[in-house]
Amino acid sequence: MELLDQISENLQKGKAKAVKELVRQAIDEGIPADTILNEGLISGMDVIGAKFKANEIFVPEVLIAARAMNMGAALLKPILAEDGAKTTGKVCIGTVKGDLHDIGKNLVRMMLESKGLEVIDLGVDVTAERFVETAQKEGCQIICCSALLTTTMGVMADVVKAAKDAGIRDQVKIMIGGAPVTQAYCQQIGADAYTPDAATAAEVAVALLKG
Amino acid sequence: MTERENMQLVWDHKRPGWVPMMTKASQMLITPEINDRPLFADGNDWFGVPWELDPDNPQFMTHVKPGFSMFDDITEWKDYITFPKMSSLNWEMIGGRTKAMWADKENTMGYVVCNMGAFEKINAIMGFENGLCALYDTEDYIDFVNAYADYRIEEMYYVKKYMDADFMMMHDDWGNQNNLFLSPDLWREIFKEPERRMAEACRNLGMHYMHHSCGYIEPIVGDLVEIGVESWHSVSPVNDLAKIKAEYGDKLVFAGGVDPQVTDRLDASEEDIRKEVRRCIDVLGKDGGLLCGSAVMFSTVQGVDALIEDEGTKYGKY
Ligand code: B12
Repeated sequence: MELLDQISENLQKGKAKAVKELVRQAIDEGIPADTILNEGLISGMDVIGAKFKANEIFVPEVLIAARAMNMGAALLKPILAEDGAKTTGKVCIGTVKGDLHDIGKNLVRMMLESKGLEVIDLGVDVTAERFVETAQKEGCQIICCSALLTTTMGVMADVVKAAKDAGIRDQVKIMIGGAPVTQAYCQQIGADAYTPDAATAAEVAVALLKG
Repeated sequence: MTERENMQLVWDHKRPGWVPMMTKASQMLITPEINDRPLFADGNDWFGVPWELDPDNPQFMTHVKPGFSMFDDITEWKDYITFPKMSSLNWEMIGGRTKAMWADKENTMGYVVCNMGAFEKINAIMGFENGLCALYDTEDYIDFVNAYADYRIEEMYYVKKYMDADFMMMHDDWGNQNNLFLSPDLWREIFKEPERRMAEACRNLGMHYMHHSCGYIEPIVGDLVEIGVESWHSVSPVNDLAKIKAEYGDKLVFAGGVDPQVTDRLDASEEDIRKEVRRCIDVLGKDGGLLCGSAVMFSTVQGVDALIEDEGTKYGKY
């Protein structure tokens, strides 16, 4: 469908206004909202994610594409809600206590959203307790922690421990990432998954939700 | 030979007697009057950006108040930004203080850090995400970077005249762990010419020009050499350093090089830290060309700087 391709292409170029207009046009033409979302917006973000992962495009290009996606998605949201569409999973994300680096965390959030997941963004400087309390209260299946400092990445181990102490460790998956984090560290602290980039993070989250 | 003379040999691409350690062979000359950012207390900078100190992290410097953004459309920057006049500062007083704090001038090289380059400055003023998106309003962005370069060039003139510094370090982090923040071509379009002008002005004043950038910047290292940037500080091992050393080692001085992702860990052993210093010297210090130290200048973990200096002094013999 040509219109959906146009949405995807304009999204990839970060043309927010064009995306908004095309989404409106698609709604007017009677294309179902979830089709517009999946085959227009999400398919465009999938291309962006793949190119970012391959280091073919850069952080600002992802940001402007995600902004365009949000513009389009805002128009679809009320219709999807009316249709009773359910999101495929719920995630809470934040940068750990003592750490203020948030671009990586925000990119992971955008990529998760572009997979249709509902994301609660706790911002920066988030304590282990707050991650776990939020997961409990909101029923999140995944906790995502970002740390950019070797001096703060230890908080991620605290999150794993806090989830155990709260008795929810078997109900929640814990994903970790950020510049100094490695697969070995993930194993060492008993978290569930590490990925080096945001696009892969979203793919892994979807896989974890499928079980 | 003094530490100072030895360091000069590195700048001149001659073989030094030993690897100069930054913390030993050079003295940072502070200029808190140039209010790029309040360093150790809450307050606004010259541009009106609010900075705060994290009481939980007293070892860190201040950071921009989270969520702050002065404007989100860079085409309007002139409505918000006026550049302060460097001439308005009491340079006689700054010069006097410099003399007092740089007691060992015979033995050390003095340097002044431009705490923020244009990229970091825009990101502080607009908020990081807005600043990154602003790169696509390229003409206006270039306008700002050029005006900013003029402002820093004015600073260099006073720094030379009243402080008699030996080199300047421009702090602008263009890289992250995985990549440059912007494409090499866009970097060339926006930053290359203003950077060339700053390097040239600095050298013409008789000071060496060093650029600090964290992260992966391998695709533009050749450009930096081409435009007269004499030294690259930080030099993260996410770059192919052996290759860069082989290609540009005779033209580019490497500074820093010791990776805080290895040394600044609470679980790092003394041997982990010493080993990292040796890695740095092995890959970057062959036949000179290295001013060794932490890539963050001062480690955020206590005791690490002393270990780096000690190991570098012992291991860095030619
Ligand atoms: C930009 C930056 C800053 C900015 C941050 C602005 C902001 N709003 O985020 C500012 C200037 C504020 C800053 C401050 C500091 N910084 Co800083 N900073 C950086 C820099 C240059 C880039 C970070 C970045 O934005 N990357 C871009 C994003 C896209 O990448 P990313 O975060 O790695 O995320 C990707 C992946 O890791 C992954 N990912 C990220 N999170 C998650 C989470 C999950 C669950 C998963 C699966 C994946 C995932 O996906 C992302 C996208 O693909 C790095 C250099 C580096 N090598 O990373 C230093 C760096 C992280 N900073 C460093 C330091 C030391 C500091 C300061 C302490 C400096 C000081 N003395 O004040 C302060 C600390 C402030 C604080 N309390 O947090 C050091 C840390 C060294 C160490 N010990 O580990 C670094 C490595 C620089 C260096 N070479 O020394 N910094």
